[in-house]
Amino acid sequence: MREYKLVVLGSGGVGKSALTVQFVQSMFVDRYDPTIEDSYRKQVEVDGLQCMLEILDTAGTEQFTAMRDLYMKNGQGFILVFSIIASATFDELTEIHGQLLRTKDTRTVPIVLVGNKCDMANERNVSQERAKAQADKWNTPFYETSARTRINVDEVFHDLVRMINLQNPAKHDKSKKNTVKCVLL
Amino acid sequence: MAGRGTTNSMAPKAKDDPVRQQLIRALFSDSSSNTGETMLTYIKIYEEEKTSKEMKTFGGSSKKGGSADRNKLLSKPRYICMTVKGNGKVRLHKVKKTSATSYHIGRTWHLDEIKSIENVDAKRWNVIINRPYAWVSDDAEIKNDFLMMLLKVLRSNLKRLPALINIDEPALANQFNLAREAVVTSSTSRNHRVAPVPGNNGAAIANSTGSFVQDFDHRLSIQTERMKRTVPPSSGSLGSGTTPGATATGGASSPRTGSKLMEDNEPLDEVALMNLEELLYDMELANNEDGVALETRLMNELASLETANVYSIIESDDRIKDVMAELDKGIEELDDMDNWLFLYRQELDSMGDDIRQIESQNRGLQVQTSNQASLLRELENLLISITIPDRIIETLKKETLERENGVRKLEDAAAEVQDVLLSKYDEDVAGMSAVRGRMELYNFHCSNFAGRLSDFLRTKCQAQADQYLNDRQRTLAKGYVVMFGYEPIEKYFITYRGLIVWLREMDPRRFADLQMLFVNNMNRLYRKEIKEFFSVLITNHVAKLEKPDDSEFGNVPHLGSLRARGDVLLCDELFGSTYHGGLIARGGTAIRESLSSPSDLTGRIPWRRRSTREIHDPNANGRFNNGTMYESSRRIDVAQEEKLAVDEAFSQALSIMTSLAAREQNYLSDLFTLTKMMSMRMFINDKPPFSMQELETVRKPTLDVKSSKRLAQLMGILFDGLSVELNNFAETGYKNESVQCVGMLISVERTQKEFAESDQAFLITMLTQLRAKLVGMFEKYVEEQFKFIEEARNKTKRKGVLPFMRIFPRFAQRMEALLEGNEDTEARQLITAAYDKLVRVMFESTEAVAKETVDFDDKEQGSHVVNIENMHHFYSELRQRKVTNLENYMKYAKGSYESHLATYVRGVVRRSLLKLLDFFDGVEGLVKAKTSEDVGFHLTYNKQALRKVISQYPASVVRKDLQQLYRKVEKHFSSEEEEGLLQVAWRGIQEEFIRQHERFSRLIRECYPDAGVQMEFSMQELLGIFSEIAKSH
Repeated sequence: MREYKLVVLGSGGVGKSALTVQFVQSMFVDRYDPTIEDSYRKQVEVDGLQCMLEILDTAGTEQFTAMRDLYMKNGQGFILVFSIIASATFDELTEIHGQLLRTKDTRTVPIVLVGNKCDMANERNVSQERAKAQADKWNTPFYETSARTRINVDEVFHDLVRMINLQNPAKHDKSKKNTVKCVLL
Repeated sequence: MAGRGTTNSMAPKAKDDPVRQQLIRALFSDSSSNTGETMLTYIKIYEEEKTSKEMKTFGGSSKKGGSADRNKLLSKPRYICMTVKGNGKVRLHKVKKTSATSYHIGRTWHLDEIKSIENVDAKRWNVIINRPYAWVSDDAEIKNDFLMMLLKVLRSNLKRLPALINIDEPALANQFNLAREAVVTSSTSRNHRVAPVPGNNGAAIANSTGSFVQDFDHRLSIQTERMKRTVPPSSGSLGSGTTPGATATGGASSPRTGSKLMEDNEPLDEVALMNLEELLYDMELANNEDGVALETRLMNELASLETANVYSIIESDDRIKDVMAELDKGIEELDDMDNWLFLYRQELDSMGDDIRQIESQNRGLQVQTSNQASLLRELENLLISITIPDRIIETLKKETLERENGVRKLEDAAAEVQDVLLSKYDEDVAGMSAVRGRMELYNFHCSNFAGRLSDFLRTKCQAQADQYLNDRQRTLAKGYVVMFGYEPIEKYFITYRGLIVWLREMDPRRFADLQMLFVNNMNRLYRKEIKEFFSVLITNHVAKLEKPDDSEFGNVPHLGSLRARGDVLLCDELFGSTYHGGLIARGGTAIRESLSSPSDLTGRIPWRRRSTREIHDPNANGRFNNGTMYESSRRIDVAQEEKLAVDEAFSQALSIMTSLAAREQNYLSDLFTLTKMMSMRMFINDKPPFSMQELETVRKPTLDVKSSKRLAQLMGILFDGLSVELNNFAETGYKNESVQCVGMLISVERTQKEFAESDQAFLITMLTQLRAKLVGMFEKYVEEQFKFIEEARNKTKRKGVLPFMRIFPRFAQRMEALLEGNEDTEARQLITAAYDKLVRVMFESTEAVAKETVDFDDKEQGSHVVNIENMHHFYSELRQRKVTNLENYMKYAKGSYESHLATYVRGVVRRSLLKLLDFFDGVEGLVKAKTSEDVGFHLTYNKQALRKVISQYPASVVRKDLQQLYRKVEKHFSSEEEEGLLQVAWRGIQEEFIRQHERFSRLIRECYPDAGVQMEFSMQELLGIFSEIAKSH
């Protein structure tokens, strides 16, 4: 079974943990307990293939963000989460995204942009259009999710797995490398 | 004659009469009068006011006094003017001369206001209008004229005349006519008075008689005509002499009174008729012509004449131009006014628009006002809602955390602040600087308080931990192995859980820090306590293996007593290979059990002491007063010098530790209110229940992954020593007595089951790890046993019951005892698998040893003996120990034993009766192939041959053989464990001999019926020999 290292990034209090726990356990965490680092494992079936997801729920609050570089190096796919009711959290993703690209040093990092707390649309501060525009700019899919009501939660993770599969097909890794070598020679 | 006398004075008056002109001009001209009145006549009078009073007072005596007072009181000259209005109403005006030419109307009366008229004398007369007036005129004649006219007018206009007193009408009329005559004759200029009157018709002009009366009549007629314009003119209108005013009364009086007048008028009439005829003639109208047609024509003529007349009047009069001009002017002015009105209207319209606009603005203003009012209310409410009384802030700042009521107050205050801070506002409201400012202020206070709270709790936590850490009372000793727990600390901190809930909401970071702080401090205590607990337990109360334990294959007995039996070599060899320690004692079951623990004296077997915690003696704790309320359940039930089996000690320790940890986790969960999300307010209103007793219960998992992970992490910190200690214990126990890993494993599994459905993630993980470790130990243990068995094949003695066979039943019994009541554990499967593996290799080894045995003279029989002995031992021991679950192996062993025994017996018998057996086997073969009769004819099996074989086995030989055989068999079954087997085997041999004897006899009877041959030794002899042998041993 192939393993996927997914990393959930975003500012503090946007609901990274809630999203992750909702995905892993189908349970909503209603208390806020700043995460330092948590990892979860879950086996899912995506497109008929069994996958083992190792989800790293990271610290959003600044005191703990020093580890970010490390997460970024180790992760294969990234979920960038902001809260639609706090536009600052949306703006802060720009920096994270930049850091991600620098760390990965490639233009095609599997990333999903996620606007969480869409059940609180009456307090919305980030319009869908704005987020969509950003997602288009980054060339990533965009989802609005609700960890509370479990909207689009599975979709986000599954889509990320698909992106990793697409970018890095499981079985052809070696042959690809070989062909590249040949071309270089 | 007075009238004559006044003619002179009257003449000039009539001539130009400036007073009249002035009056008209001033009061009754077209331009000056706004009443539309025309003056008919006037009279100058002097009003005698006093006199009138006197007159009133004195009544009839006025005649004398009146003249006397006259001169004295003639003070007020006035003019009484009689006027006619456009509608024919006649009025009297009293006019005062104010200057040379101007007049002022003092009073105006309608005719019907006149109550009475009284003629006093020639010049004086009284009139009562509203009040009595006494008037004196200059001239009696004029006075009479005026009265006459007044009467006339009164008659023609009023239905009821006023009271007339002392008025002689006929006399008046006479006087009047006389006057008129005089006027007609004497005065020609009378026309002047008439001249301004526009009413002159042709007849009047033609008449040229400008008499005053005529004039007056004429004017009246005009007036009447004006009044009755719609009435067709009567023929009488042509008659100028006929007064139109001659109504019933007027008409009645004038013919009566005016006969003279009629006479005067006759010539005038004649002239008029002549003129009429001429006129008619001129107009070529015959007399006989139709009167009606004539009238029509006349009327037409009259109308055209009137028209022409009007035109001529209009054209002739210069004033018309003025009038026209004035009219034009008037029209212009009207136009102007119209324009003005138009403008005014526009102005009004625009004003109307303005008003509407103003009204709408007004409405707008009203709306705005009400909006502002409601905004004000909202703002006030908002202010109320966001305003926290200072005392609350003060409470947060100053209130002590030391005392319980202070904590309650703080909870309330904190809830208050939290309510405000956590309430959701619209973005607009939240954006208001007042709100923002407030929020910042409260946040500041909150964070201050959060700091104060966490500092306080930190200090307290550390202080309490230190205090307990140095508590000398809490030391363990031999026979006093207990986990004290920290209920006082727990009780102390639970007071603050409300504020901790608050802290969680308001400052998650401090909350997390507090959690860490708490568990770190508690960890210091628990680590020390757990370490001490285990060290005292292991040092003092775990039975060291200075006792025999032959339930292990490796622990081959090495006690001196056993060495004598030939185990010495093996023991020495095994020490190095399987055991590290040299403490291992060997011995029989009885010795082992007596040494395993002193408690055995009470009849308790270590591995049966499962529920000691529940049944322990409560008095045992009486000695210790510094214990906690939970001491009894947290104490290892052990006497001072008592030692427990490893698994028992482990089981008790594990039970104590897990329940303590579970309790502690429940406490953490309650202290930090982890299972529920709640605000301070919710906490105050609906306090989650907490009781120390309830902490003991095992709870269902309610948390999400993250939170339970967090809790497990906290627990991991809190009990970081526990896992290590338990692992060490297990290691020690294993080293001490390997088989104990099974007992420990079972303990762990039982505990696991206890927490299987609970929220104790930490314990579940810890137990899983511990179990894995124990399973590993067990496997290692089984592996060692396995190796030992394998090795035993080569190293052990080759006769008697093999060591592993001897040990296994005890091993199995012990396993089963451990498993008792735990049939459903995984250990069961593990052990069953181990049985399978071990028994298999045991059987294999047994067979192999048996085959290669060198300890017997007869190798084959020796192998059978080994098998028989071992299988029998295995079977009988297991059966005797009532070890279930091994039936399959027992069955196999039994079968193996029986078959080996049968083979052995047969082999032994064959040795003794070899020739007989060979012969009769051959006979039997022939019988099967042919018939029994034919056997005697066979060369090899004829009668001679039979006799020869039989003769070789006389009873004496058989006896000797059997005695020899017994000695041999006795030597075979020499193993001390299986002493009974000799009898079994010997009995088998006996039966075999009997059976063979019977067989031989039968075959002789069947095949050689007539030979008369019999076996050399009879059955009786055989039985005798056997009983002889049995007796001798």
